[in-house]
Amino acid sequence: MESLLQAILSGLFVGSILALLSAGFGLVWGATGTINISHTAFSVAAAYLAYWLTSFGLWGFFSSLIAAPLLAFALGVLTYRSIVRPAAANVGELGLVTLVSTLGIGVALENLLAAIWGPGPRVLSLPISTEAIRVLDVSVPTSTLLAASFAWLGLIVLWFFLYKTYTGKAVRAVWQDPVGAALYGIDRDRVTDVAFGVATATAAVAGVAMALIYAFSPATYIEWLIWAFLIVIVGGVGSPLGTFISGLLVGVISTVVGLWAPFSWLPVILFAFLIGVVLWRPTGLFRI
Amino acid sequence: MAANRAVPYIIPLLGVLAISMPLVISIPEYLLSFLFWFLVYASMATAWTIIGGFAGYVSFGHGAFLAIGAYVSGIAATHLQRIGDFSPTLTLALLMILGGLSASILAAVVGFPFLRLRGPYFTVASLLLVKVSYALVVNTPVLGGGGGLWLPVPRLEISTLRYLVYAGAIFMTALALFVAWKIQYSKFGLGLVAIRSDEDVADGLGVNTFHLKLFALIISAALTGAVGALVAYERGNIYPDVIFDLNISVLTALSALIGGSTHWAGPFIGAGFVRVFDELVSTYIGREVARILFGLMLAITILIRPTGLLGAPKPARKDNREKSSKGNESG
Amino acid sequence: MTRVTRRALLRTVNLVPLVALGSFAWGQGTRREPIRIGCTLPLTGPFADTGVWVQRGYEFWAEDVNARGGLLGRPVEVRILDDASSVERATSLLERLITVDRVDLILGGYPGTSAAAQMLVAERYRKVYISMGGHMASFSRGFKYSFGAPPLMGEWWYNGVWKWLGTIRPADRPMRAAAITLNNAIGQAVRQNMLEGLKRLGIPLVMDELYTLPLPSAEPLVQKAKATGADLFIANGFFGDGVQTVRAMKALNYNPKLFLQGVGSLIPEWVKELGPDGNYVVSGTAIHHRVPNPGMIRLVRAAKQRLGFDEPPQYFLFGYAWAQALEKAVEGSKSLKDDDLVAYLRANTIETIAGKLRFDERGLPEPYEYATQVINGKVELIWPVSARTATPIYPKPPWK
Repeated sequence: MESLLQAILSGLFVGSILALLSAGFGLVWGATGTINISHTAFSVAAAYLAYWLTSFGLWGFFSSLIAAPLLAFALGVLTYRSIVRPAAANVGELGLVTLVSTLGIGVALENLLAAIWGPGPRVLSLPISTEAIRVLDVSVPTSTLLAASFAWLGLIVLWFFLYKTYTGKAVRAVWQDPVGAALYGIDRDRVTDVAFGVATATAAVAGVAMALIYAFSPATYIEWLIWAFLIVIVGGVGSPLGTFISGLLVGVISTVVGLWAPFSWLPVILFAFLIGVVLWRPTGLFRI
Repeated sequence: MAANRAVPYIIPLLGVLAISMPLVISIPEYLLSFLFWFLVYASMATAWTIIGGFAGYVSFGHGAFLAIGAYVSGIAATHLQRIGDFSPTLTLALLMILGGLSASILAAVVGFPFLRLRGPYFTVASLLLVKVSYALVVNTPVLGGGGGLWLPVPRLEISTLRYLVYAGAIFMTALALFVAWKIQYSKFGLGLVAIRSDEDVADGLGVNTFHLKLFALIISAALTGAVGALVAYERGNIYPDVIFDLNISVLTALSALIGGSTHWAGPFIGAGFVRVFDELVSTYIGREVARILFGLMLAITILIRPTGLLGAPKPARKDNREKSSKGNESG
Repeated sequence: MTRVTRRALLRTVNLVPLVALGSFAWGQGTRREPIRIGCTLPLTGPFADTGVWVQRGYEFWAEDVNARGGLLGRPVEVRILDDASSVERATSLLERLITVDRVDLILGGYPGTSAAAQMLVAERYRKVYISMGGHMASFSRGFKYSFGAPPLMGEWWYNGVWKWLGTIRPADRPMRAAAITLNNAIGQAVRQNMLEGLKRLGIPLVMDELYTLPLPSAEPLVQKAKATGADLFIANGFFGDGVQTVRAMKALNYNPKLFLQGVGSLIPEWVKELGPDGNYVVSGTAIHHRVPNPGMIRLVRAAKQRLGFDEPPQYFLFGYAWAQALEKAVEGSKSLKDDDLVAYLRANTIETIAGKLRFDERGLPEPYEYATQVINGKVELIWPVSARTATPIYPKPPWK
């Protein structure tokens, strides 16, 4: 039984990180109709920043946790203003246009990172990364624990923002009812600015968390994007709760399946399961 | 409209011209090779747009149709070789038909569940299709599993092979363009436009949206599958990592969107534009800077011409699409 | 030219003008036409990290050859095009090099999928193609123009390891094996070798799992392996999944006597990124800088001097070796005609930094048998004994 417990636990940890990675992507999609392909490119960029700062020492790592989200916030707002808002002004098919334009940004960012750091794989290692915490028969690598705690921190901050702050509530209002929100005097543009910034900031934190566990290179952002895409759709675009649950679900399935089925069938089972969910609940597991 | 009436004659004519030209004047082999890949993408993009552009069902899963066409024809090629020696042209034609057929069957099978989904949900399902197909294929030893499948080596001179596949690519492109043109200016096409503009309204008006969508998906898949067979034949082998590469599916959709996915010639132009830009930038600038420029080009092009190079200059307002447009009340 | 300037130039510019300039500057002053050698490599994209090392190997070789008076008395010019890690570009660019640029000779690409596709192109155009190949499948197609000098043959990968294990007393050997394999061309090829080796040594395989990338977590796999009580753990994978596997092993406190890893432990990042946790991993290789092959010592010294690294990475050595094989064929047959080169390679043994190579009708040399172990952050050679650079550490010390 400990192996089941072990698997579920790892799955939950991995899942929370995936959930944070996807949360911002879903937020932007729901609030502005933008499918931001470059979302995970910012995550990878944050991972590189953390990697670089950590090479100066442990304090470097912690400073990256502050610097990365801040920078990402600014870049997010910049992206929104330069790419999304002009498009929104004269286009009907916002989703497609932003898809292509953010794809372009993603490609550009990926290669910028490659130009600076080279295309080789990196792993973010801290002195404690190599330890593990053992409680009873269950062990968790410290790197996973650390990464998951950052993810939770990010998720809690996001939740706080969306449910407890005025701007956050405004974002949700715009999300659900743009006309009604405008009637209440909510400045849609400023609100979406903030939404974009926050979303990209969470992408940055998630990126640092992912980097603690997985090897990354500039090209990795596409892989991470696919996870985010799947998780958001299954959870329901525009539902933070849905994204969270969906992320955990994906994480747990990937670790638990290995206990009962040959591991090589994991992708088939996971993706078939996801297809099933999408077909059963075409708008996602949750609506809000 | 007069120009359009000439199209059904012009396309095949140009096709025949393109096929016969290398026989008459000497074309550098590299050009044939370059053209081959351009035409492969052009035909795939054109096929894609039948469901992705006309009907508005954006698919990132066309790689699955390409792959099934490749694999089925690959297996068939191995068996054919055991039966006897056939003329290469006949073999290729047969393989392409098989590829197209298998892809249409796949489309019919997945179409039923998938076409019930709208917008991005359909897109995600198509993405999952590619991923599941990849996972299934690598777990199937008879298809070569993770290691890949090797096709029998066609006993041809390089120049003959080069020419044969080039002709095949011209044929597929002409066919795809012709089919796309025909659809665009037909009642079928009108039905697809109705679906794209507002599916619920179309439904309410009595348009049999499901059948139309399914038909579009099947045609789109069939063309793509045939191209898959062609590619497998040219390459001589199929690696799952390569054929299921998401980049192919994305680049196909991208070419169509950039060129204008609602116009029959849009994807062709888009594929050309993307290809030429890529080639120029990679040759003269090279490496990461080239790719950065490429990315920026994508973003800028779509922002300047949101409906694509051949799209309508003033795009119609999108109504009622779930969460894909944030009401531009003022404009 | 200062070393820094030269390095910067090498990195950003195709070698064409540089080598020509170089050969003049070094006073060779040949007034003969340069020999143009073309190839494609992934200089951008997911495989670029390795592609760049092969490029450095090729360029270094070109400098070397020109410093010695060139090939057949003529300077060489290596033209490397970026195929952006795409198989399709690799083939079309190679065709361009052959048919438009009309290069005299071509060199091998990377990775195996591109190389295999290029083998086909080279065969069709009847040009000698010396490369890593695409594992056994690519060499079983009856190609006459392809040679692996050395090939990156998954099917030979752990040969040295099995030999080494054979020298350990049966009582001390591992009792049972658990394996996880990355389900792609390389992984499957290496797995083949593993199956044969285990069978020959009589070690039962109690777990044989396949996985694909992306791998969300290696823990379930490692957990399963640990549960079987296997004391030989084999991970036939790459770098990223290798790292995940090692970390999972440590977290779950899985201490097999012997841990074999596919191709991840060979790249410099393994040692750099995993630190001490990357130690004791055993693997195979096709080439190593401490193997006393002809010219290796000189190359290592020159590389250290001009490029500054102590341990030339695997792929740098590969690049140099492939180019060197081409050089030997040209010098040996005194010709640039591909058919002459093929005939020469078929009939003669050549000596390169990869050893004495004698090719069979498939274009393959004798299977190599090397085993490596990462000890104290360095990739040491533990087999063959004659070339050993360190004593293997067995069994693997448990995690602290």
